[in-house]
Amino acid sequence: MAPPSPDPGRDAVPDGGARFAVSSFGLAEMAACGARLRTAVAGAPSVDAAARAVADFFQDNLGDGRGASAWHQVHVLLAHAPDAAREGLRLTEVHPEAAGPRAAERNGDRAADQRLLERLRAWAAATGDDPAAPDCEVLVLPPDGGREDADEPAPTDSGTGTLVLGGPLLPGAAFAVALVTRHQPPADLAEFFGPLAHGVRLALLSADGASPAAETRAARALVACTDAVVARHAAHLRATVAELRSAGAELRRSREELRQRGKELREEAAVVELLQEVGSTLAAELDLDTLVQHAVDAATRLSGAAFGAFFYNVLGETGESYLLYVLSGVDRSAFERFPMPRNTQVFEPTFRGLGVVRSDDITADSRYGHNAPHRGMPRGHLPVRSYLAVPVVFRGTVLGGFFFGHSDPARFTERHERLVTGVASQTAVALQNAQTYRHEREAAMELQRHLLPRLPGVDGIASTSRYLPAAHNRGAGGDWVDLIPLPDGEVALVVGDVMGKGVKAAAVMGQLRTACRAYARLGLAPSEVLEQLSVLVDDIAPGHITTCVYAVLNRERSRLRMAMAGHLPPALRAPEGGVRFLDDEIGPPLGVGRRRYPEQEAELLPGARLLLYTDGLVERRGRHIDEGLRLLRELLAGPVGEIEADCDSWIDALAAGRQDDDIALLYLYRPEDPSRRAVAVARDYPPVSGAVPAARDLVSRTLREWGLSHLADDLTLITDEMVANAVRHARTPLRVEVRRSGDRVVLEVTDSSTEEPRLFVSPPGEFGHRGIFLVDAIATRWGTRAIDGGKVVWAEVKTS
Amino acid sequence: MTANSSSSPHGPQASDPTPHGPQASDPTPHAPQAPGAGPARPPEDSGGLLPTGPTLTLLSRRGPRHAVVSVDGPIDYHTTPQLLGHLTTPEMRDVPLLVLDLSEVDFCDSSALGAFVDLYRRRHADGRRFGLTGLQPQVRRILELTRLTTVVPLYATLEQALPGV
Repeated sequence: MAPPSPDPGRDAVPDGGARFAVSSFGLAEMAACGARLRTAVAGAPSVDAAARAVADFFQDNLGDGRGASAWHQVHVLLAHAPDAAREGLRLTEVHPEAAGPRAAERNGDRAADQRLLERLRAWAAATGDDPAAPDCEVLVLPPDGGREDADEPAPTDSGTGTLVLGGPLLPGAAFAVALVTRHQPPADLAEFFGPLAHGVRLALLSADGASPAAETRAARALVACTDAVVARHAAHLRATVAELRSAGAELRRSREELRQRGKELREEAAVVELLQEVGSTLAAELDLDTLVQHAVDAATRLSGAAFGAFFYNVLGETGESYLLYVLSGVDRSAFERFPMPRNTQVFEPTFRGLGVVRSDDITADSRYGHNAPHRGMPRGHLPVRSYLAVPVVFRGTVLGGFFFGHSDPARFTERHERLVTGVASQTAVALQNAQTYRHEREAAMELQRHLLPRLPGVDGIASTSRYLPAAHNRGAGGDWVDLIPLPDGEVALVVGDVMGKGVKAAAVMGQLRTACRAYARLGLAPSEVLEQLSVLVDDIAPGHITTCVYAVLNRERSRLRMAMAGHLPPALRAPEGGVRFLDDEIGPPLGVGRRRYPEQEAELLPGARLLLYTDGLVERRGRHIDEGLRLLRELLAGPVGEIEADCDSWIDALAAGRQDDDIALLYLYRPEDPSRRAVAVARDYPPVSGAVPAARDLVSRTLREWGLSHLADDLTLITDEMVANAVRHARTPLRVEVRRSGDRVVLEVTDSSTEEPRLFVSPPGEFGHRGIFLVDAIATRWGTRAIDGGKVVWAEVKTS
Repeated sequence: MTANSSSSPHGPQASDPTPHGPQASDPTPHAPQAPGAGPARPPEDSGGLLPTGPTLTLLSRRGPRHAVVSVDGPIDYHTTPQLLGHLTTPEMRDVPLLVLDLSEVDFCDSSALGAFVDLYRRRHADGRRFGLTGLQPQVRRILELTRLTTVVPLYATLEQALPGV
């Protein structure tokens, strides 16, 4: 027995080849086995020798796949029937490794033997000329029931039997190879053994020195048999391959389906997460600008659109509503040059909140393209075929609408529609939240404004004030200014600074301010007011050193009477430009006990200006306070103009946007002609491009009314650029105010965006850059200032 | 000149440059909260999104190798999109020489300048010409202030712009 081989199908055989395993015997084995048979038997000197070689061949070359021969026994039988009429048959039987051929008797006792003998007789009787005569065959005989002459016990495997390869030789002769199997052979083995039977015959005939004609016939039969098997199996194989292929495709398909389903599930899970995330983000977002951007970004992502837009209604302060939009997936510049969408058949369902519009190809939609002049998308519009629009509705009110586009058709499915609808309802709730929040916040801010009232205007002087908390101390500080009309027509001017930071200082400041107002209304003299305040500081906030200037301006607005408690001296600018610090009599700070504060007086001529300020204006890290005062004196002595613009430009020059301390200013101007008051016109606009010509028109008419038409060209251009800039960048409601003051006209554009004015960050070559270049070239002065909840951009032009 | 066509963005409305509410009422000093300020949409008109404000009237005259577009109205942030839309159509893009006649334009802002430069650059890159004529003093001034007189070709008259036509 050969040792077990790692390849169960081919065991090693003595001549170096491999054993063919009958369990996996196929076409390839059939061909190889036939070839090996020919080699093994070739050159046998006699029929007996050939029969012997055949027996050895089958014994050695066919295995059971487990290292043993496939056969329990191998017999080669040669039968001669000298006379066809006779019943007798002379048999020669050959076994592998037997000493030589011996005569054999098969008595036909058993059914298998019976059948074998019957076939041998038939084969021996066949002649080559009769086409109907039996040819080589492979028979499967049932198992022996146990043979007396068995050399070894018959295997008990019920599957055993005998495989017989046999056929006619020369007329009157036949052969059979009987292979007693160990195991049940595969069902198709007999078929593959057909050519082997022919091969055995050919080998026996050759060894017998048969005529070339007989050999040729046998060879032809071999070929025909082989061809037949191959043909049958080729057909079978083709069918199998086709079957396999379709099974493979089926498998691939189901695998693909499985993968797809898995992907869908994963996507679904991601979508659910995303929707939840979007929902919680939106719900938590109270800032409208951020909210709508979040919403459009999320919805665009979920819809798979190339780009998306969210149009939403905003209610202005005076109750008017107007439309704004945000974009996702595309820069705003792609739409800036188009007018707002109109109430076309395509847009109407969304803007009126009637329902979702989803189209695989909107350009093929019957609602598309009915409105002049574009009849569809305006030229230069990003290409849109797939279109999805979902309104955002809250309790019957249309709050806005989502619009999505893609340049390919059929991109939006029902699922996308559902997802976006989900985002839309979340957006509706979030918008409502944001609006509620905004109302509450506005109410709170209104309250704060009441606590820190704007200074009132008084006859005979123009005044303004500034309060800028330190950069690091947003909102609360100890500086204050006040302007208090007194019962007898005089006006009290106050500037003060409670040392210390934050809420504590602010709380002390609030009490002092209130007390100061009360003392002022009692008609106390400046020195008396400071004396009372000093006692109060000791009482309520011992140790909180406080400085203060308290001045009273008479009814004629011509004389000042003042007292100072350790504070930086007010600066007085004479009409001609001379600047004097009023520092003759400065008493100690408040909070150092009851003191008598000295008073001093100063004259305020027509055209004079007075500045009260806290140390934040002139004191700065890295700069000595004397240097700051010198700079302030220089600025005051220089060209001055409208008081608001003066304040801004001085703060800009001295603090440069990074004040270390709070800054408070009170600035007064006594006009040359007290009857000529400042005149102002203001108007609010929504942030739409139409605001630009409207504001230009407002300014142009106002100047005409003021008799200043010669300034119209310059001021309308400045108005145009500043309003366009606010519309383009701030995108919040805006206010345009034009004021006349002395020989100046000031234009202010206020928006509610706390972002830094984009004027300064526009790259060269953009409109904004050129716009600010124009403003800078034309205006006498211009600047910006941050205000509570927004910013002001202003420009000033001289009237002569 | 072979063909006439006029263009406006909103059909019939274009010839009626008045539907912008705010200017209609006289500005009132110290009345910043005037109701209806701004071109607001009445709340009940939840679908009306018609743009407001003045628009341009554009008149195009085509020659075999050129086009002259006469502009009437202010060219600003509001109307520049309309002008660009009209001048960047394929027919206009392909014409070898495009001249903007600004005789009836008394106002331009930086958006207009941006559009001129943009048009000039694009056409120049394509080997096509672009120029302005009929500059009014205010328009000439801002072109001079921004040094664009040295960039965009200017013609004193239409005849100079189209020699031999």
